[in-house]
Amino acid sequence: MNAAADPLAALWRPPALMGVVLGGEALAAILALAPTHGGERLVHFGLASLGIQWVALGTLCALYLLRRPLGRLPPPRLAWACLALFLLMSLLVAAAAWSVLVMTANAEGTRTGFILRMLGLALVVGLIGLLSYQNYWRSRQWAVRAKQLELEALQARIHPHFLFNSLNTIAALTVSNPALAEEVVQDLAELFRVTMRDMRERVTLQQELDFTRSYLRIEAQRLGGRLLVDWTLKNLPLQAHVPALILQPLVENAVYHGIEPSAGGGRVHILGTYNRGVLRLEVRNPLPAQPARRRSGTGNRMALDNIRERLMLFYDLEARLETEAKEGLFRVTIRLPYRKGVTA
Amino acid sequence: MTEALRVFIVDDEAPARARMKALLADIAAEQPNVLVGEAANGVEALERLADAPADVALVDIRMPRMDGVELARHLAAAGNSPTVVFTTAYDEYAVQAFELNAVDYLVKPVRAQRLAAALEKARRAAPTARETLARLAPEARRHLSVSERGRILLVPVSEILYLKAELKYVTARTREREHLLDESLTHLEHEFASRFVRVHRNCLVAREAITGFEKDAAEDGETHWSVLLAGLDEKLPVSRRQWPAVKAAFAGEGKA
Repeated sequence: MNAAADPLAALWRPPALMGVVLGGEALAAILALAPTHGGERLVHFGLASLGIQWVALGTLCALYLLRRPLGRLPPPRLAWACLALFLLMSLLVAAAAWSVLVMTANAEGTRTGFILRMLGLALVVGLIGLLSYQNYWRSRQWAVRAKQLELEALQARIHPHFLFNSLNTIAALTVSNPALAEEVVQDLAELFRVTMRDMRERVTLQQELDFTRSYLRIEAQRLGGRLLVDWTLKNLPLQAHVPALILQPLVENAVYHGIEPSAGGGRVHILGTYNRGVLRLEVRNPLPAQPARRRSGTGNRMALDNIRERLMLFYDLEARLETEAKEGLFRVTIRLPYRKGVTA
Repeated sequence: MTEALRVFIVDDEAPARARMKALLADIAAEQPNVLVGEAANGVEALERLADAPADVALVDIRMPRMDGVELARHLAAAGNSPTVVFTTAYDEYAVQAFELNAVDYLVKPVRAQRLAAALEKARRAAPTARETLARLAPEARRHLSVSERGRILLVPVSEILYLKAELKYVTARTREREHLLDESLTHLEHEFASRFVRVHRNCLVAREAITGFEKDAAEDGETHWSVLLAGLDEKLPVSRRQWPAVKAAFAGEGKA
């Protein structure tokens, strides 16, 4: 069973074992230092330590021996089973301890009383233990999920279709127009540099517009007259910080879904406006009568979801991404807040 | 002494076509070839190939109007057509399908050596079967093709009102005329399931063309239904066996 699926697996490893032993000693120390009526504290510590270690290690042994049947239980039941075993072990050790205490004439009170006190102690410690383990388990799950998301994001960024077609274009230009080939290589390198960045970083609006222009220059080589682009930018705060790659992927989608499937090509319209603290970026592309096959739905959605998520991360509910398909035109609009002087 | 292969290039991107031309020139010593033409999509390719017959067609799978696999299907149906070698920049689904069906393909940017090897294979290998090509196609065709006087004529599926099976062939009726197709009605029913509904053992009707149904009392006292189509005077009988299914399909649309 892999570690992710088997909650008990972590218990057999050195860090966990050390933790249990040291934790037991700490508990013994607490008990020994607690205000009690007389008696040597060191003796108390020694006895407590002995008892606790027997219970702790005994429980671990029992869990290990029963790991296979336990492994089949669903997590909630598994937790209760472990607690039950812990209490059972405590009971056994408490009973044995009483006998030892009686023999050394250190016994105080009744047997039942003693055992119940020990069980009470064990119950509290057991519940604390369960809680802390649950925390640890949850954080591990989150770590695994986070890694997964990172990988997915990375895969979503580098679009093989674009990469290989661009490389093919460069290969062609190398022979027919080497100077132009070199420019395309530079543009491609810049684009890839951006996609390798941490998506949590921000860039200036100027930079984002430049990446988009680099991307479009490469596509212009490939698609020729089929790709027409209109830019309408009105008083944009070019030094505003925005999440990286919020515009370029939208334009890429527009080209892939709106221009490429059309033999005659079409026009992509990119608009940017800034009004009363809200920065608005919009990309429009024609919706061809015969849509792009295969990748059509999923690639588009993934890019949009990714951008939405990152907008949420940065701006919470203050940023919005909306799409609209109407009268043969597809529009994506992003709105985000920008306040001068504040690194939003 | 190897004969020069007549090669035709189909790719929607001009730089890609230019590169392929350059590569063909580079490998000419190893694989003698002559470029007989080029096209930017499947429809153009079919038009030009009629006048410029070729032995091998290098076809990009992703093109507007008509993609590479559909082009290959029409060429295969026509017979005596160029062997198709597919090219792609990246398409994981297509590549999987090609590998599964042992169909050769080239990835862009194409290496000169790989192109030479593909041409060599194309010289010898039998053309890919229509059934195999049908399995490669991710979706239904947009056109059906007819061989007419040495040319391939394309019939847009959207214009077909009904398909009727006659002996070995299938008749496709559009508003203007009839076409004889070398297809199987069952395969067509399967490929275009959402577009056509079976009204009779030997007849499929385009759902969108149906305007209504008519009841006739026949000699045997049983009621027979016929389907009415837009733009046609002809009424097509609906078999008793098919009637419940046809009625159910249109009950919601208020046509029955």
